[in-house]
Amino acid sequence: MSGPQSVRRFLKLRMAFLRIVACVTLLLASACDRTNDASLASEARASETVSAVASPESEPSAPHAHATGRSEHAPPPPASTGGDLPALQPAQRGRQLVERFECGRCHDGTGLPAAPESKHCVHCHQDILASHFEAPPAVLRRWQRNIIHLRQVPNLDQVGALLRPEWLTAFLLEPHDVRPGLAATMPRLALDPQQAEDIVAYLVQHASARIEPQAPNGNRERGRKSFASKGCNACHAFERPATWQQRGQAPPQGAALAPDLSLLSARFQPEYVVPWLLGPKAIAPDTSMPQHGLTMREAKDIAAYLLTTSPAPRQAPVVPKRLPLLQRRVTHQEVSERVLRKVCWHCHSQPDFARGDGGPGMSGGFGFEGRDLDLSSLSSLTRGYRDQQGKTASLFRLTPDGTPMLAAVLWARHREQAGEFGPLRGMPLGLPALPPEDIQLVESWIAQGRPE
Amino acid sequence: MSKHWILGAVAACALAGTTTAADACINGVEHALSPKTIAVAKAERRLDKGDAKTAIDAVLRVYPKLKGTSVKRGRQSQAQRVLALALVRIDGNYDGGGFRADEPEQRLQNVRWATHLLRVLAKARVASEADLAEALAHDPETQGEALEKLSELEREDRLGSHQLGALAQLRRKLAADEPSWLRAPKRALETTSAVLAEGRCLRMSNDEQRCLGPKASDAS
Repeated sequence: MSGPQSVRRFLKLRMAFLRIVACVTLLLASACDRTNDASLASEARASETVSAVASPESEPSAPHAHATGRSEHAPPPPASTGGDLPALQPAQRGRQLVERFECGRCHDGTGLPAAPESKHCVHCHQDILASHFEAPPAVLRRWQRNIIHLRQVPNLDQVGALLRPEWLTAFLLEPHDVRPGLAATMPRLALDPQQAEDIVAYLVQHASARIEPQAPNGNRERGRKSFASKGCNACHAFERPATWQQRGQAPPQGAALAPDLSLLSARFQPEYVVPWLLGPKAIAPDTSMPQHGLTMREAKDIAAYLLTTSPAPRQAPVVPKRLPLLQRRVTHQEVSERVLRKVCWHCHSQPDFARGDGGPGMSGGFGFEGRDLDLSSLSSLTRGYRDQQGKTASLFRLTPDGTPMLAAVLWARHREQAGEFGPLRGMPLGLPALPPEDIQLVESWIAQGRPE
Repeated sequence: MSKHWILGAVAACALAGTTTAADACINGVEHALSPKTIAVAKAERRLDKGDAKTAIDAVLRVYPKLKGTSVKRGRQSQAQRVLALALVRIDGNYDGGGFRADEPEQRLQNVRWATHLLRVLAKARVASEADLAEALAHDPETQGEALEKLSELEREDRLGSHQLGALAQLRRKLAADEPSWLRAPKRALETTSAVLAEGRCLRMSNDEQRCLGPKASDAS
């Protein structure tokens, strides 16, 4: 066989082989798509089934009464994730987003490996509280006294099964107070609506509990009595604050995560309230909700009471009045001790002096770009931060309403707590807004020319 | 032995209350547990307060051979920043740790070494642009560059009192150096700018030497 002939034969064989490979790839891809479509369709059907057995006593005018499950959702638009997560199903994109937004730094039950200890806010706090953290006892005792936030956060394992997807999506975009026993809330991440939907799609897919739906068609009045006699109000607010709130006490053991039940009808899949009341630990083994040994009738009555009673709308916190500037001299040391090193530097610290990476506000994290902002010293504070264009900007530059940026973000947090989610992200992220007296201190310091 | 020393340092630190309520955080752990971090962070605070010589002593105690060390990441780079900036603020007048300061030429060499280091550290985002601009102001050959950088940073409100003081002094010098036929208007302009920078500097630090310069503060 001559040389050119063998080359031609080789090229023919190569083309045939490539065609076969291409065909097999296409077949596999389409089969894979069909599998995913089938799985999503079955989920959608399950959601429709849940909707179909909705309680006859449900408020017909309630916005959620007919909006259960993914079947209500319009077909998802193309991924808006900046083109970096192409051609994936929503749940697949959601899984990547859960990873990118580092939900596992606070939450367990994400279905992904937990964040390393050096980055896991809650595990680290829990280790310190349990004296498992490697530090001298005196240091541990001091830290234990000071840890207020992020001692407990909800486990995400079954939220996708129990909660309404549309509520979860809205909550991710505009997090608000759900659990009176926790001062911290879900932080307001840099999510767009499509990303929030994708994360919820993942949480729905990830939830493994198989719950037999039960119509919450009990008797509301009997439910009200059972709610009182079973002591639900000891942990949960509903129609009135929880008992511990009324007494001005800290939540009792296990009640920090107890949600305000006035939000239940908006949050919860109505058909899962009864199964949840009957066996919370069978659905979510980590839950602190106790098993009350309710009968089916009691559970249905309580569910009917919770889902059909319209408690008075919760009073959103009001943005407090701005206090006048202080006349006395305010120094950086005072601002640092009361505000910057007390709160801010948890996320905005010098990585060269930290065991971690200086925090998400320094090196990036929770889906945020690093802002290169170190609030731990005067010189680093003066240096400024990296803005969205990548340029270094001053923390004291004035925002359009004339408020210096450093104070403006503190006021933005108050507005977020009052339900106003503007373009400026409130700080401290996910933590309670600073008292107006602390912001007054910051503003006075800046107005006085930032005395050292 | 060293373990006892570490525990002693931690206990002393806790008793002295040098750490704050928020230290129970991974960003605060090193501040509470690592004597080297505690020492370098303290040196940085001393430098911020204007105690440059003590700051140099402190970082050289932690890293005695810091002068001969190339730029590294981490705590050591922060120590290098403190050393370089402190050296600039005392115009290179430091004897020890490999530095000689008997002659004006030696002191200028020290400033130039520090400025070079700050330039490298600024590229690595360890030092700030303001740190570098301040250092440039201490060398007659780079004062033009310093004035340009400091003026820009002043417009962006990214200067601390040390840099504002350096800027004010540069502007006063510029005003004094104007040719006679331009002197009156230009001098007035530069003087006004200098007064503004001095005023801001004084509001921050209330330190006349820092803001008005050694001679001006002596005269006042």
